[in-house]
Amino acid sequence: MEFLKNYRNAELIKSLLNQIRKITTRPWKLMEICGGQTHAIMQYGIDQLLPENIELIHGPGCPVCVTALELIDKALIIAQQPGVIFTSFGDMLRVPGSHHDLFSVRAQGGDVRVVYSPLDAVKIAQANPKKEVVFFAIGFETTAPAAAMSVLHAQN
Amino acid sequence: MCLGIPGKIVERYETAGTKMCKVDFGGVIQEACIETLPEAKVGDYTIIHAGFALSLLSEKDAQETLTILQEIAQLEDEEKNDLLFTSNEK
Repeated sequence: MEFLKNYRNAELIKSLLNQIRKITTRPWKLMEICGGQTHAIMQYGIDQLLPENIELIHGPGCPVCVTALELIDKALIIAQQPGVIFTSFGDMLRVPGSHHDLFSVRAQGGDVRVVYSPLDAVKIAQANPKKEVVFFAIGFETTAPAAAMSVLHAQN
Repeated sequence: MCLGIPGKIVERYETAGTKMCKVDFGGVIQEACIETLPEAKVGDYTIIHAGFALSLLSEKDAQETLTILQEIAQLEDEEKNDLLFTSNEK
């Protein structure tokens, strides 16, 4: 099945928009929860297609989206220290700080590694007892338990 | 970052007192932590995010989610081909 064709089918989209208009009998505020959704809505002009009664609010974003510039700048400085293995989720590597990103630190010889789980950072620390292994524990409620669990696990 | 992926628990064990498991994601086996889901058994389906089990789910729900993820992957492939086709036209 080809999906893209259906998404680009003007007749299908028109009929969907009509149905959305029909059920929009009062003002609605919809919040996007992810920066990726906001990006897609803007890129394809979906906000301009929706009835005026629907207001889109750009929502909280994921742990990567909400990481403050200041924190990224601090991470970049830590990652550049000799003797440090800096670990982070893959999505964080391309997020720009004030001047550069973690990818460029790696390109300049910094030991920056992508982990899937914070527990992987504990494994790296076990394998490299002479190095300081840092995990960039970004996020909030969704990632905090995993980060805390990893600290406990490292203690054990 | 936000993507939790469903998989089937195929093995349970402990590492330094932490409850761990092996999860089968459609043929790819990965390690995950189930300290957050101690009731999980071998054969259960669970959603894994950043290496941690979030919740149990039925096999039906797991398959539905996997089908959607496959559709998204297919959509991305089609989009790439579409871009290639458009740039060749110019």
